[in-house]
Amino acid sequence: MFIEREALERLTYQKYGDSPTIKSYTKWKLFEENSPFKLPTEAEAGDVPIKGHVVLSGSGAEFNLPSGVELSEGTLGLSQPEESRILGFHFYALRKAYRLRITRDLVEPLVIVSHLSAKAFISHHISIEAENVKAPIIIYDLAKEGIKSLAVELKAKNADLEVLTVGRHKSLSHYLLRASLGGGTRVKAFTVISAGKMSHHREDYSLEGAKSELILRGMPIAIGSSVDYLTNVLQYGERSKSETRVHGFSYENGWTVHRGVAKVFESAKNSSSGVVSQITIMDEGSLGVSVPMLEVDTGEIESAFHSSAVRQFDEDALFYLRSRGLDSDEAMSLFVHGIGEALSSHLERLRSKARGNVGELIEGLL
Amino acid sequence: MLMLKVENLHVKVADKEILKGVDFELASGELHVVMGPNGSGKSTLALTIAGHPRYVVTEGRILFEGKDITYAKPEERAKKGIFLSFQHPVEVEGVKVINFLQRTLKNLRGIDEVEAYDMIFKAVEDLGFDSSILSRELNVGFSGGERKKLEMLQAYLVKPKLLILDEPDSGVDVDSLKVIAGVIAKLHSEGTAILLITHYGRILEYLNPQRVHVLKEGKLVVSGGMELVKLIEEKGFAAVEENGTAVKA
Amino acid sequence: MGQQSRLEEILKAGSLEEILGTAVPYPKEIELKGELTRDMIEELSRIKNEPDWMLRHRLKALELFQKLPMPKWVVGVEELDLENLTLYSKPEIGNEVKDWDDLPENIRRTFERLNIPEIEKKFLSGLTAVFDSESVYSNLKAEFEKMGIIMLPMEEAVQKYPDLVKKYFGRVFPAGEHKFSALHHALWSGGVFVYVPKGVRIPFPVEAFFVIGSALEGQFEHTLLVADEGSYIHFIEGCSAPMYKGFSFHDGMVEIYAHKNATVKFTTIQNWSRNVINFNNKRAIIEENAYVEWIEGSIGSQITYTYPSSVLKGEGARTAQYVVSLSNGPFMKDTGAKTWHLAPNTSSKIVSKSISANGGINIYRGLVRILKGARNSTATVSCDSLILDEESKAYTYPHNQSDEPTASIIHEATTGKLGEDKLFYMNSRGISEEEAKSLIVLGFISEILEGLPFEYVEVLKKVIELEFSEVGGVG
Repeated sequence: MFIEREALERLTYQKYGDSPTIKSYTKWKLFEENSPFKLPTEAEAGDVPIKGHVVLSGSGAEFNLPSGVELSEGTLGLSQPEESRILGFHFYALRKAYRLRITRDLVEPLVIVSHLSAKAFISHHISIEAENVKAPIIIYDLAKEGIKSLAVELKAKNADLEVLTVGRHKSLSHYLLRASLGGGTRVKAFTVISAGKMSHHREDYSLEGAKSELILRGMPIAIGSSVDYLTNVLQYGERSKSETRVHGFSYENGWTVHRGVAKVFESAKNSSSGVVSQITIMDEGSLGVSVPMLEVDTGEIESAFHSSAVRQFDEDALFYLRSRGLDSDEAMSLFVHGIGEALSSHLERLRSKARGNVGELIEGLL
Repeated sequence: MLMLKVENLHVKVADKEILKGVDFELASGELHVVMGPNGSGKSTLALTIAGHPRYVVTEGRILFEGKDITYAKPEERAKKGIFLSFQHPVEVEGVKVINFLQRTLKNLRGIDEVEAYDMIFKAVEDLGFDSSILSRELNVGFSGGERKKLEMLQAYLVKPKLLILDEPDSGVDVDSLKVIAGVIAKLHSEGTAILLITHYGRILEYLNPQRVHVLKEGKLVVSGGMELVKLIEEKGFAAVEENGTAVKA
Repeated sequence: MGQQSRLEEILKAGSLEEILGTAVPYPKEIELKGELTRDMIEELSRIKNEPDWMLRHRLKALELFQKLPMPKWVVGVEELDLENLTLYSKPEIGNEVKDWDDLPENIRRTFERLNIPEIEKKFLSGLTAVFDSESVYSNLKAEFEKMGIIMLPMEEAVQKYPDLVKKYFGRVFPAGEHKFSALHHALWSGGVFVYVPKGVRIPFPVEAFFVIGSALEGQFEHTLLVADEGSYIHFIEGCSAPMYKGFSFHDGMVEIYAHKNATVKFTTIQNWSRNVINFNNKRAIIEENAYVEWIEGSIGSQITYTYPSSVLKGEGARTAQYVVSLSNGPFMKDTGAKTWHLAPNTSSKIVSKSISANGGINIYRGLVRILKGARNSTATVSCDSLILDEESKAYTYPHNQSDEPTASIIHEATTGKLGEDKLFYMNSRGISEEEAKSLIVLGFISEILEGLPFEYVEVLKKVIELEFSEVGGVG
């Protein structure tokens, strides 16, 4: 146990409201009703549909590491139980936290699978260290039943990383990524999520080293489900660069939220930060929210911008495709596929894997 | 055979009536031209025949090969053989041109992907286009001229029964204009019925239309031959109303 | 990798939540000194000779003030002396300044450099007792009367047109919204009531203070503007020349009701002295096919909070909010705009331009909310920030939320710096750094200047030049 029950009692999900009109974009009530106080915190490993080097299913853990990746236990200290109630629950239910250290360049991607298919509150915690290496990493975040809370900590220095995160949720899911990018680190990330009853997915990147770079792309998709997708980028390092692009979709009473803060601190001289956030509402009854916030603490920047758009399918684009013989559903599917292609174009090693996953996700849904 | 018959067409867009009773006929294999000042409803006519959902028919009907298609879905009209070459083709991110063309050929001509692939490369060669266009994303970052050329490539491949061209000549340089006109002439000679909408009429130097219609404020005010084009070039659209000859084609 | 990362440091000290999205660290709660009692409010109402319904309105607001929690985001106000606040509401006690010589040196100098006529100087410096009522502007009042336009101090309106006032007062921006709107409704004093009858169009901008005079000087002034069907009015309050204020906490309110097909343009330019914490409550309700445009220019004060809001109630209603905020020096502007789309075919536009220099902070807070059923509505927001040096900051928090698939919200924001090349180019043409800065700032806000009457633009330009010159701004 990483935190005592009594300490949990005084924790709240959020200290401040999310917006002037909405207290909270995530339906925390659902998590409260299924908390580790109410559900068991142990579960059998289930039938995991994907093979991986690290497979965490229920309370089980199986490792089949490639050479160049060392295993130990513990965390990197980039997430703390007292931060919020959900993290409190996470650490309360957590049995073992694993640490991976990548010691040399990886050609084949390191595959991490986090899976739950039982009615329980299960926590998985993986920390990854990468220094002076080049590596592709794939994280499969599969939440079939119960509540799964997955925390991934990443500390990189002078590393060149590609990170593909695929979230397939049916039930409740909590995900937190905390990444600290040291000098000279480049991270190219792509996240695609098929939301569950309520998916809270948060990625925090701290660009601390000079010339650290982040290209982050995301596709949160909620079909008859809900997703609160947060991307926070904090830039401290001089000449650091970040570019975030998210295009979410909501369909069949789906609820898709993308928000986050891009913050350029005073020390991040000559940095640049850009966020493009778009939510496409595909039909009546669905909801879209886009709130990219920008905080710039100094005038000594290269550029900082953000743009946000919430709208339905471009009617003209849809008509163009239909005038070429595609029916409405086919056109929408092609459109979403196209976005997936455009958003994964920054990946090299993991590009086709990313596209394959997007394709699979959309296939089942549209 | 009558390819297209438009009867007393009234069309509104967002509560504003744009077409106020348009009648005309287009026989198969004919090339008709529609001209008119800005705001006269030319694009509206093209988009309505193609079935754009924003354009609402409040009265009248559209018959294609004798069948009423007034309320048919856009994809159905396309499959029946109506092909619209857009004035402002939109960008569709992430969709490669080659894949899009293969899909279009499959949908509209039933040609399988492999055969389509060869057809497409040959067509690119025939028209003298740069094959690099095929690996780019659909219209993303294309100049106006490039978009128009891609529309023509599509028309060339699809060989529709009725080709509607919405200002294929606007924003296009002289060389591209020749290529575009070439494609239109070729399709026309091979039997495609063509409805060409143009503002300037420059493109008509290369073509041989059977009839020219003038649209003003949502109505077809006059129809005639190429002499109308000359009149418009010399005296502008105002001159045409005064001449007012028979409206029915 | 022994070195601790910043993330770890932050987490050890507290939480990320405090750093993200809150602009400035939340201060401790504002201390309320003294008490605001029913008796005080009753006395206030009696002095003003108000009808019973207005007294009841104030008392109800007082109750709400006592119940509502202190808003967490108000910075810069350590304590509020409630008893002192009521003093300001009483009509006899005006500003402290009784003589031209009492004015702070730099304000006097600024007036001289701005070349403002004698009579305005006196007015602006608070010597309103000296303001001659038998001026050019009395002709205007006669004209208005003929057209059926009502424009008079709010207190007088409460007495002369109670039914009309009662219909709208507090309905657009109710007391219960937050603690400071409740405070306002309890203590309001001054402000102007405007009613434009059906179909009446006022072809020239109405400069409020020339018509109303001292009534607009108040700390809790309440302006209510009702434009009946098909009417047109461009109302300007405030002025870009620096204004010295005796009070330090301002909690004003503007309520606008635009009936079918009416057009209201409401321009506020504020350049108050640096001792003021300026709090504004501004809202418009817009009916079918009516249009309300807010132009807000915030230059002075120590901290200004203002978010002109529009509620698009009727089909086809439209609104635009143009907001310019300048924070030159260790000051803060927390500005933005809020729009609610409740009906179909409504459209809104927000243009926000903020400039931070010399340690200034600019925060843009926007809210665009499109409710289900507001079919085919469109909202566009563009908010740009210009940061002139390394100590200054700019934050943007746009909240865009749509429940209506046929509607669209598009938002773009850029935060930029001065641009060495631009500066160098100007230097190489003999333009000094200060002059260059003011030129660039003026260029940056030119889009908004276009909506203002010529004289305003001239004074505003001069004011901005002064801000960046050696005089270094006012106060």
